[in-house]
This record gives sequence, structure tokens and C-alpha cells, in this order.
Amino acid sequence: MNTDYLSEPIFLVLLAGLLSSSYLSINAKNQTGSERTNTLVTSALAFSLTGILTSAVTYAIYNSMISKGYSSLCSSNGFISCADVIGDPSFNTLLSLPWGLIGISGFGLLLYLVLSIRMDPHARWVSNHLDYSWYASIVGMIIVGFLIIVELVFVDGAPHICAYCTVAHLSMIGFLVSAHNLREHKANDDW
Amino acid sequence: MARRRATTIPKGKNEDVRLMAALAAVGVMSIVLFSVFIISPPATIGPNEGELAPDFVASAYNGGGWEDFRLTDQFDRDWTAGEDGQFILIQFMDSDCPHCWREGETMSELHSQWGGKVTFISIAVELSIQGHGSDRNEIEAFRDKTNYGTDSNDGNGCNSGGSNCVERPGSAHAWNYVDDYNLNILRDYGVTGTPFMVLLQPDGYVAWNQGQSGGLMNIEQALQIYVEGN
Repeated sequence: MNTDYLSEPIFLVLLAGLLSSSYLSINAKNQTGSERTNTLVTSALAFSLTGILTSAVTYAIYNSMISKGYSSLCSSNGFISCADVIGDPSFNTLLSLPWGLIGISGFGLLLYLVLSIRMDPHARWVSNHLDYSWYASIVGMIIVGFLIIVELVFVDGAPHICAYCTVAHLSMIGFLVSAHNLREHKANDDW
Repeated sequence: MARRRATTIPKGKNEDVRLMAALAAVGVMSIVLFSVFIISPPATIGPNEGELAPDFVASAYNGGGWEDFRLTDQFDRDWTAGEDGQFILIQFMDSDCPHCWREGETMSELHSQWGGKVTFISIAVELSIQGHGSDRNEIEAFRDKTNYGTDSNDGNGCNSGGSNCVERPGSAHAWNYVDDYNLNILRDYGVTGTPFMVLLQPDGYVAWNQGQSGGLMNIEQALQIYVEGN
């Protein structure tokens, strides 16, 4: 198994973002009231920021793969190989848009929804934003499911797993959990 | 008289923070995108002259069998203008297209003249025209000039199903024929009819596109100018 990623500073920063977000999400279980609200919202914010940054890295890798044929950020052989996933011309775009760019936009939308809640947790529209976050993260999960199938079945030389893409996928899953917990928390009138 | 209890439910802020949140989110995305553009600027991909040719992975027939073929494997990324290098000629063709049938001879001649300096690739498509039904056997027969179909206009064989592929003008072709019956490559290159040619530099950038030359330059002239340098 390729473990080069664990010595890659950018990957470690993204992994740290993912772990911090997860810690906040888990830590919120022991809290109540506005303290729990703040922790859950901060966790969702951290997941969306990690998603944006990870998507940006995959977009940079995509650009490098296209113009130079390689990227110094990822390996190109073995099961864990982002070059084989992001460099596959048949699956590395959707409607000519690189997945990294789609990821930045998608997580950007989620960032807006939770940031607005963080800035005014008691506004009238908070319930709507929680619903939008939940629905958007369900759409995100469908996309993540599709991309995982592509990695494991369809890319050239499959199966491959792209480590950076996996961090983005886990950020999406983490956001979904936070959004779900926030909706429940709001419904329980413990906001 | 009963006293009304003061409510303790927190109220939202007087101002609507959603615009500020949107601006902040857009700001974060802009900074991130700007950083990506600085660190790893995107290449302009497309079939037009000066653009990086769209990559593709597909099955290709090389005379011995069908194998995976990837365009970028042909690129020499370190190539710079003026250096020696292997240019790439991409021809879009349909084995049932009468113009492609006749161009078979031109391609044979071009290959015998330029084959040492240019990698030839034929992209076999199936245009949605009556009588253009094809399969991989027909691609193989067209490339190799082997017996396939009949001379009668019965839909079997090459040239709108009116010719046996063994009679194709020119010699047998000695380069890869890529199966693009799903028309993905055709669409990526914006090709609307066959035959159609694109000449790539060794580094994969489009040097000449038949559709952009406006009839002022044919493939022979393009090869002379871009490959030979005069």
C-alpha cells in the first residue's frame, strides 16, 4: 500500500482539518442548548472549509495532470493513486467541469448556509437553511457514491482510490451528519 | 389581574446577515481559486489551434488486436518549438463515408512520406446516416484492406456498404485505428463531418485544425509548414 501521502504536508493539513471537524461533531454529543448549537455549527463550518480546500487541491492536481502529465502531489501507481483517478480523461470532468471545481462550488454553498446560521443562530430563516443544508448534503452524498463507484470500477486500471478525493468525500459525509444533528437539535427546541 | 410573563426566547439580529455570509463564502472561494490559478494554472483544452488537444482513452486496433490507447501517452511534454519531435496527425473517418474511402489512398501516401516524423491516428466513427452501420470487423478490414462485405450495394462492407473493404484505395494502413462508435472523441473535437484532420505538436497542442484553415491550407501544406518548418 502506498503510504507516501502520510509524509505529504498538504495532505496532512487536510487530514487535520477532517479530524478536527470530526472531533467537534463528536464532542457536541455531550453538550446541550446553545453550546451544542455552536459546536455543531462550527463542526459543519469546518467540514465545509476542509471540503473547499481539498477540492482546491484536487483541482490543482487536475490542472497539473492536464498540462504536464503528472503532479508532484500524487503518485501514479498502486491502489491508492490520485493520478490514475484525477488523470482519467473519461471521468475527471462533469459537463467539461473538473470535479475539483464542482467541489469548491458545492462546499462553498454549504459554507454559506452554515456561516449564515453561525452569524445569526436565532434568525427566522435558520430552519430553512438547516433544511437546505440537509437536502444539499444528500445530493452531495449521491455524487460521492457515484465517484466512489467510478474510482473502484470505471477508471482506467480500476480499482484505484484517490486519497485527496477521499478526504473530500469524508468531509461531505461529516457535513451530512452535522446537518442531520443540527436539524434534530432544532426540532427538539433545545437550540 | 394576571401579569404577563416576559418572554425569554432569543430573537435574531435586526439586520439580515445572509448577504454578509454570502459575501464571505464567495470571498473564501475566490481566494482558494486564485491560489490554484497561481500554483497550477489551468490549460486551455480544446480542438482549436493553440489549445491543448482533448485527451481520450479508447480501444485501438493496431493490426494485431485491440488494445487500450491513450492520446496523452503519445505526447512529449518537454518538447519545445524548433526541436525534433514526433508530431501527431489525427484523422476522423467513417469506413462507410465515400470521401474517407477515397482519402484512404491519400493517407497511405502521407504516411509513406511523413511516417517517420508524424504519428498517425485514425478515429473511426459511425455517423448517423443510412447505410453507415459499422462494427469493429469493418474497422479492421478497412485498415488492413482485407476481405469484408461485397461489391454489391447490399449494406455489407465499406463505402456505404457498397464495396468490399479489400478494394479500398491505397495500401494497408500501419497505424492505430481507434474505436469511437460512441462518438465521444468526435464531440470533444467538435467534428461535424468526415474525413476531418487535426495536426498536433509533439507536446499535444493543436498546430493545425482543418476546420480553422478555411480551405487556405490543406494537410500536405500543414505538414510541410509545421513539421518540416518551411
